[in-house]
Amino acid sequence: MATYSTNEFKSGVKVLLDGDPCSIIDNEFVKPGKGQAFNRVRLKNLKTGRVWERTFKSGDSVEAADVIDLDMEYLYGDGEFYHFMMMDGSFEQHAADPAAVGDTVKWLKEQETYIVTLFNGSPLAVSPPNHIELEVIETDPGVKGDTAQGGSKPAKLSTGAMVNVPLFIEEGEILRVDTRSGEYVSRASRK
Amino acid sequence: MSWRPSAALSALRARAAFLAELRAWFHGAGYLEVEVPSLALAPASDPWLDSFEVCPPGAQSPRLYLLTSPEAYLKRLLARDRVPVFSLARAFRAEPRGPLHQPEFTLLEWYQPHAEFSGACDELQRLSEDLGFGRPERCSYRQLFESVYQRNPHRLSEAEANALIRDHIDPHWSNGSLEMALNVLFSEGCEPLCENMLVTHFPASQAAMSRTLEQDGDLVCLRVEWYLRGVEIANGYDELVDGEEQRKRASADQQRRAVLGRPVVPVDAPLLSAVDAGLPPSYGVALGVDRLFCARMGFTQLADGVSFTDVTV
Repeated sequence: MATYSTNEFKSGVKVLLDGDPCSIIDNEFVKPGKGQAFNRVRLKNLKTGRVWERTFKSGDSVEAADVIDLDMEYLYGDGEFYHFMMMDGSFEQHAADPAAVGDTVKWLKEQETYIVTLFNGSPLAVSPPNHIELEVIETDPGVKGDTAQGGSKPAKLSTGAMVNVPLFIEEGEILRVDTRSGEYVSRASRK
Repeated sequence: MSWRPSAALSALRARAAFLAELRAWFHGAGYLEVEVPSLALAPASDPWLDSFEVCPPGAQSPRLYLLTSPEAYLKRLLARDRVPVFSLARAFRAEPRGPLHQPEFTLLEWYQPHAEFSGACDELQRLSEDLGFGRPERCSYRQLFESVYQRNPHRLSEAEANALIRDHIDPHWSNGSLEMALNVLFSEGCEPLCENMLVTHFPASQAAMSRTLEQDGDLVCLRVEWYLRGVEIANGYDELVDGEEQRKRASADQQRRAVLGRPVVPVDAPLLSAVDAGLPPSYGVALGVDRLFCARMGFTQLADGVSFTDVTV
C-alpha cells in the first residue's frame, strides 16, 4: 500500500481520506517556537468537490489514492451509464454513472474527447474540453441584419445545454461554447 | 525556477538600512557584537530541531553540524567573559520552506548576564517601541489560552487537549501527545490574536533551556515569546544556569530522540563544561530578523524580504 508522508504533500498529490479520494491543494508547514511541527493542509474531495482543511502532525502518513486522469472519447449513453473509450489504442471502455458525469452531462457529445478521472479503475469524474462546438436545436428566429448590435436570447443546444446567444443566431447553426463559463464564444467556422 | 532574486531592490535597500538600525540599537544598549562559527561538533539537542549534517568531501568523519542557533557558543563566551553579547548571523534548520520559514535565515541572538527574566520582557518592549511597532501587550500563556478555550492549559490531560482540537479546530484530528496538542491549540487559536504581544510563562514541557518554577500551583517555564501580527518573532529565556539540570535535560533530549526514532546527536560537552564552570544568571533572546523585517515592511511572506529562496528541504 503506497502512502504519502506530510513532507511529500504537494499540490496535486492524491490521497485517501475517510475512504474518499482527495487532491492536495496546498500544504503549510507550521513550526511553533518549541516542539513538534504540524501541517495545515487544504484538500479537495474529488467525490464531492468540497474543500477540506485538515491538520496533520508532521511526519504522519496518509494512504495514496489510486487516481488517474485519462483522455477518453465519449461513445453513447444507455439511459443508465455513459460509455467512454480509451484513446491509447486499447479500445478499453469505461462506464460512468450520472454521479461521475455530474454537470458535464450537458456538454456530452459523441466522438468528443473528455478527461475521465479513474479512482480504483472506475470513473470518478468527467471533465469536458474547455471549448466545444454544438448545434442550436431551439431558439427564437434570428433578427436579420442585426449582427453588430448587443442583445441576446436563450438557445438550446443539441446536448440540452441552454446558452445565451446573439440575436442573429439561427436554429441549425454550430456554435463554439466555453464549457467553464457556459458562455457563447462564436459561430463555428465550418458552417 | 527563475534566476531572478526574490526581494525587489527597494526591499533589499530597506533591509540593509534595517540591519544597520538593529546593530546600532544593540551597540547603543551596551552589547558587544561577536561572530561565532556556523559549524559545530554538536548540534542543539532539542528533539524537534533538525540540524543539517556536513561531512568533508570523501570523509565519513568528523561529522559536523550547521548550527540552528549560536546559543552554545554564545553561552561559552558568557561563562568566561560575563559581558552582554549579540550575534547577527545566518542560522540553519533542516525544515521545509514555507511562507514564514526558510531553511537558512538570519538570526539575531543576544545574552544579558546578571539580569532577570523581567529584564528580557522590558528590553523587548523597548525594542518594539524603538523600531516603530508600538508598545506590546503582555499576557501569560495561561491567560491567553483561557481567553480562547476557557481551560487552564497547565491542567489539561492529553485526551482533553486532543478533544479541544477536535471541538475548536479540526473535527478529524487524530490524537497526538499533550505537547503536540498544546502546540496546535496555541498556534491555531491563540497566536492569531497576538497583534503585538509578549507571551510569558509557557508550560514546563516547553522549557527547552529555560528555568522552570511553580506559579499558582502550575509548573511553568520562564520563557517569553514576542508575536507581531500573529507571527512569532522572538523567543527569550531565563537561561538555565544549573549544570546538573542542564545535563539532565541534555540526556532526556537524547532519550526522546531515540524513542522518536530521530537522529541521535553528540552531546555538547564543552557547553556542559561551560555551564559547570558557572554561568551568571542571564537571559537570552533569539529573534528572527527576516520575519521582523517583513513585519516592518508589511510583507506577508518571507520571499518578499529575502534575496533568494532557492533552497528547500
